Amino acid sequence: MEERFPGEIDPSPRAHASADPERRPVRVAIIGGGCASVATAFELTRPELHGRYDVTVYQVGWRLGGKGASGRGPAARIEEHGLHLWMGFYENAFRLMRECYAELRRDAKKCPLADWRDAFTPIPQVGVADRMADGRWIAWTGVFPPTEGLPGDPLPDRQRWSVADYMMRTVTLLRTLFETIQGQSSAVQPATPPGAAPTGNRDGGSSSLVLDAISRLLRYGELATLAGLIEGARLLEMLVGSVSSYEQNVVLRFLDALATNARAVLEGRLEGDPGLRRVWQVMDLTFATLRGELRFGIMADPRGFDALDDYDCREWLLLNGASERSVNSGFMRGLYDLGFSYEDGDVARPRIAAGQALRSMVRSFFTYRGAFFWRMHAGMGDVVFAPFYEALRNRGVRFEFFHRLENVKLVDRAHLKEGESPFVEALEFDVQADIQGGGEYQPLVDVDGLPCWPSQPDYGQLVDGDRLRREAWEFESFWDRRKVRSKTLRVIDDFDFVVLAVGVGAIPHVCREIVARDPRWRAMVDHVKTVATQAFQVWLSADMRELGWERPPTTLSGFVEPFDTWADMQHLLPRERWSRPPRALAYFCSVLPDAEGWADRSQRGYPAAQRERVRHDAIRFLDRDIVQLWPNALRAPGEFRWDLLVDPYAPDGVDRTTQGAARFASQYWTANVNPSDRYALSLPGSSAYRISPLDRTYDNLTIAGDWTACGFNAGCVEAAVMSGRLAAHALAQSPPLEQIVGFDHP
Amino acid sequence: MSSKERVKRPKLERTDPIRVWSTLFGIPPSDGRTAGVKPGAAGRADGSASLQDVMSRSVELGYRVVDEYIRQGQQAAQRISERSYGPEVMTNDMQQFSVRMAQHASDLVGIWFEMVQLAAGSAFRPPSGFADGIWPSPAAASPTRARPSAAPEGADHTSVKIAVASVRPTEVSLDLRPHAAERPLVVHALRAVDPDKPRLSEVSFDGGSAAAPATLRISVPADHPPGIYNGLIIDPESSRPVGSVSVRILAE
Repeated sequence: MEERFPGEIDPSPRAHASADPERRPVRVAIIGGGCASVATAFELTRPELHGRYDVTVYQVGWRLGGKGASGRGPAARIEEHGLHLWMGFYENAFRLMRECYAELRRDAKKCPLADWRDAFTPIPQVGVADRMADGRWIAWTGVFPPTEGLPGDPLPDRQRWSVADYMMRTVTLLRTLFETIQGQSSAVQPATPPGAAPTGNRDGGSSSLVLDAISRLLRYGELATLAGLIEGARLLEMLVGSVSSYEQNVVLRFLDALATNARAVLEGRLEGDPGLRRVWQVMDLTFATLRGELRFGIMADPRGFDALDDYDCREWLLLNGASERSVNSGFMRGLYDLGFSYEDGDVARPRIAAGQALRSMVRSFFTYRGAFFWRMHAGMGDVVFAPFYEALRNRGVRFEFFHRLENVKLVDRAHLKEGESPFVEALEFDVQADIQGGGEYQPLVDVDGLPCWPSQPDYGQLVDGDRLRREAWEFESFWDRRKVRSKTLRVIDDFDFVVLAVGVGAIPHVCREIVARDPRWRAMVDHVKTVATQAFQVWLSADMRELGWERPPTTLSGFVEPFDTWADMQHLLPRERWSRPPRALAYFCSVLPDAEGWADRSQRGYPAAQRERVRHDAIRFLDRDIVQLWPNALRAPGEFRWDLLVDPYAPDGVDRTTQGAARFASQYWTANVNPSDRYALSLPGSSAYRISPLDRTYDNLTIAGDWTACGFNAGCVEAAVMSGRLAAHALAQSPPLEQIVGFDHP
Repeated sequence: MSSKERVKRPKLERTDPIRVWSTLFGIPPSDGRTAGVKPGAAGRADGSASLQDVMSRSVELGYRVVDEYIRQGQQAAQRISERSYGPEVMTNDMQQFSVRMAQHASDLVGIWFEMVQLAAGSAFRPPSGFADGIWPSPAAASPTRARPSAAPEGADHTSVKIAVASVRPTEVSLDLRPHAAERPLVVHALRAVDPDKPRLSEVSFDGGSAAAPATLRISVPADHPPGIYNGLIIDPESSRPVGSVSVRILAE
């Protein structure tokens, strides 16, 4: 039995089951209402913990969701912070989501999204855009094949991820690419040259046979043919599969021979065949990745992929032999775009830590289940946060909306007993509004049977609501500091534990004392940088085919700035409430470069000025750039067909009062500039400065969010949920770390 | 717990992810770095490794030992039969083989001791020299590892930034003595084996101190012939070589 401090809780389930009925539950204050917050609350209130934790969530404004918040606007249209996709490897996020839907037992006759499979479906097609030499943009689209199982399904006991396994799969991908090229070749060559080694998996050939076959391939120049390259890749699979059996130089030398021959075989065909060049670029990046993993000894490094985090991904690939052209390809730009990986929002400064980028890639490509990408069938708020809100309410969690945290107050050092760790003494809030009758704010609205979040608060529930509306209080704005009163929560009296689940951008403002006193926290806020994002949505009266997009609904990135990512979201139209439904719905998003004074709270006009920037960006983009994807979207060169926009305020959707670009005013756009809404980056050299939710520096405080050291150090839903589960583990030792999928991972 | 008593967070078994499973067995990586992971971390949540866990780990490790014997044997036999390697390489191979087998055997013994300890419920510890990695040092077991730290404790902290300017695919291999990059260094023009090939002269080191390790800058002219170019890295204070750099320029 491990030693406990006086007053420390006994976290074991057995202790809970036999707990003294007079013992009070542990009161947990969770600050923030994003993915990490709801994951922590969900874990701490599991029935197996027998009500040991009494949880209250404190949320600024009127809705949960953080960076994933959405709202219903006019015509019940869905208004998002940006584009949200769930990847097929989001095991933790899907697991909790599935448990949440199962627990709610929604009635399918009344609710259109009763089951998680109603709420999430595979994305049919994904793509990247590539700029050709003549300046045109070409969209490359494809379909990732469905794989066995579904995300969130139970995994085998003692699931172990290893670099060696990932390398094996990478080589298999390489072989598949060679085979694809061979399949496209007019002169089909035999798949296996005479005298080649027997084929098989990693256990299919002994070391001697493999070395013998390699020697033969090299000696007779068979690698100079596509068939020889395929056979070479097959042998490389065997080498990598049991790489410890071979001297590293043998593997590296063979890899280089394969790469050199592949370049020679394909070189002559690349110029006239853009499709082949794209495949070659992926192969070139794959060769560089394999070479780098071998040269950097990642398989045996106890830091796993973290060992590469001081390098930028493209810099590391160049260092390992990738060409400039490959690292600037649409594939790589798509990777950077999806992670908003541009320092200070400057697209000229693409930067992402190589280790985390590789971890993201191997998890994305090799561990997805069901589908590579999943999309939601309503707003993220409706699909994710409304169900969690309902399930948590059912479990007894309280929600205090309109609470803006202003300060996390630490105990005075002079008051600490000998050997006692520092702790949070008080939480100081601004209360933005009081609720009529003193009850709890009811935040959801019903849209055709689906509980949803509105884009505006329900002023009718607020004390003095009419005045607040008239005076246009911006409850979600960092720059609007109006309040109706202050409130201080004190340790022991009001809470025992604090889970700080706000965005990292807010930390310098709400944890001033900690940042001033603690060099690790100071280093964290200095190095774990964030970026603002921008997004807009347009509802159109013409469908995609009329606009000239002939392919199935697609999600595409790597496109021209300022909006590098586009998603066809027409599947959401049935969830909205239009008198004359639009025929297409498109979302666009990208980073938003920082403007002067973004962190200055006295500049109340900052968010409005940034929104205006986004509006200008969007209009220019539609006038100038969208034609590359939608050739029929222009009325005249450089002028978008603004009459295509459907106006939710007009009964028939047609705006007859304005003309031209002014019609864009009826659409939706956002500048996500609030510190807490800013996207956390994985810059080279920054991961070492992240702090883990498991860190015990402060006796009653833990942190949660995709900006923490959570095992998967990237800005995404899965990282936030992992972090939330870790925060729960830090307080309750539940869930066990082994159940947090991907935490133990190279 | 009274209502006026401040609640404290529980102690945790570990605070870091396991990045390499082999560290569970206490096998140091080939470059000699110390695994920064608490062994036995896959044990029960109450902090003690179960006998079942230790048994399964020992069986798994046993298979690794056998597997390693078979593979190394095959490799050695292959090399001998092909006569493609000189006696020096063979000696090195056999030395590496012996070291690795000693590590596996040592780990197996360590786990066996752990089993005995669990079965006997005693505070029995293995004799020194065996399987140090099985039990963490007090520092390694501390729940709050000092951070930020780019490398685990015991690692060679030498780091060099490499800046390459080249229009063609270029690989750079750098071999430096530990801590050599913490002082100013000199590198001369790199040469190819072929004396007709021009030297790669735009190679230099910038900086180099304990606080800010050196940057190796390499600029490859667009018309420089493909090939491998090598050079020594010199410590100007002692005029002695402290490493080498190799640049491989690939054909476009």
